[in-house]
Amino acid sequence: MKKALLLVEKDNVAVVLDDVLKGETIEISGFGVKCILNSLDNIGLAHKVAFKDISKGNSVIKYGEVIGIAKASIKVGSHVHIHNIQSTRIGGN
Amino acid sequence: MDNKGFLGYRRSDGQVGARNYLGIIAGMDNANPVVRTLSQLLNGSIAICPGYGRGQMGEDFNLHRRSIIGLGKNPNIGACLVISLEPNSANEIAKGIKLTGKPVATLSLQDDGGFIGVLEKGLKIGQSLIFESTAQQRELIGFDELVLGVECGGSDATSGISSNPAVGMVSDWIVEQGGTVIMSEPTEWIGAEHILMRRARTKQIAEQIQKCADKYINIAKSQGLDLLKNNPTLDNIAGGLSTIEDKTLGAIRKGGSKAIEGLVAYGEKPTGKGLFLMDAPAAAVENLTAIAAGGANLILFSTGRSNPIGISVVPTIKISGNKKTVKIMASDIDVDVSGVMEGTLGLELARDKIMHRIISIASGQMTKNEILSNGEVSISRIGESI
Repeated sequence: MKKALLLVEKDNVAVVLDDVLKGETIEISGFGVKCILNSLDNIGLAHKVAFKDISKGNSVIKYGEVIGIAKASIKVGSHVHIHNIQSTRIGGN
Repeated sequence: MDNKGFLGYRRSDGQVGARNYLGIIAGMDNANPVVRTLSQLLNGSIAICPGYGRGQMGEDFNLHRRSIIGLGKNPNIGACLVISLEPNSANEIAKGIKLTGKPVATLSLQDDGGFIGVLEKGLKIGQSLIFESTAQQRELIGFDELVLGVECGGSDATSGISSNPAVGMVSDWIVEQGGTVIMSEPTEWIGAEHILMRRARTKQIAEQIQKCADKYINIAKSQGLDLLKNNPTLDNIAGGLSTIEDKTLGAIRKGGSKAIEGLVAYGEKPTGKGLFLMDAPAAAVENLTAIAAGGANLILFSTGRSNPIGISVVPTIKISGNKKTVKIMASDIDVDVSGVMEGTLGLELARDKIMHRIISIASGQMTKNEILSNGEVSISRIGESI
């Protein structure tokens, strides 16, 4: 089982602490939260995994703040990165 | 968490010190060698040699002078000896420092017998100042009187996940106890200025934050560098940072999440309690100098790959979450939070680990860079000399 860290209580993404393969289980912990989910993608060390379902157009929350908007609907266990979120400011990766 | 406080030195102007040095200050660069020589001979002193100080004008001069005086006023300094080429500048600097009520003596190379004359007189004066000021004892001081600087440098992928969030939780805790936190490095706000602006106590402070971030965007632009283009970089993206907000928040998280009570200029002292921003560039030594001149009695320096430098005036505590750095640069890291990356140390425990070290170091334990005299001072220049 791989580990992921919740950085702030109200975040909807967590940071994985190891390279994770699709189908592997991830234990998410932090701030009294402890839950296990299945990874839907390959996720690299320090990348983000969705800890909650995020609908298209909704905010992606990390560090307790909005780091971007979901470009598509994101399921729990998905890799959250430039392919499914975009900045609210510039670039729009 | 033990929240009684730390053992520090209460100053006559109400500030508190974590150290009790004689600060020997070079008012200008031509006095640096004699200041360094004196400091080597006087146990209990530190040499403060900021460089330049001659032929400066306007805002550049004001920033330099304000910062030198600020370093002398820092509560970790119990007494000062200011040495300059001629008496006027030494007296002007001493006048500013004396507002704190601490003893300040001056010498000048021209009026006090050149290098050897200053050395002779400086030894006598310095010995007497140290003898008197070290009679003061440490006493229990609450965290509401702590002025904590937070900085990051040598950042890597671990910084935004381990050391910065843990330092941010310390920042929040200090603010909750009624203390003060100073965070600078405006280039690191870019991309999340809107978040900092939302946290500003007043509309005016929010506008200052915007203006300050824009200032650095424009400075970079004038040199052909666009800070907003391709940010995050391809390296950042490979490391898991998806947007500029993601990248910036990882850095500014070290300042915690509290309301922003003000934005002060380079080397300027915050006017109240709570979280303050400072307009000082990110380069470590210039930044440490600005925070020290702003009255911080302790600095937390969050790092990934590590930058070992500190500043002699203020204990600078290095915190890393990079297991490799903690191992190969053990001589430079004061707090190991690499367990966060291993999943064995929760962020709350990492915060407590840092707090225990803060209490110990603020009460007299030396930092790794203090033991090695690995400290430097450098005041930013914003103009040219004539």
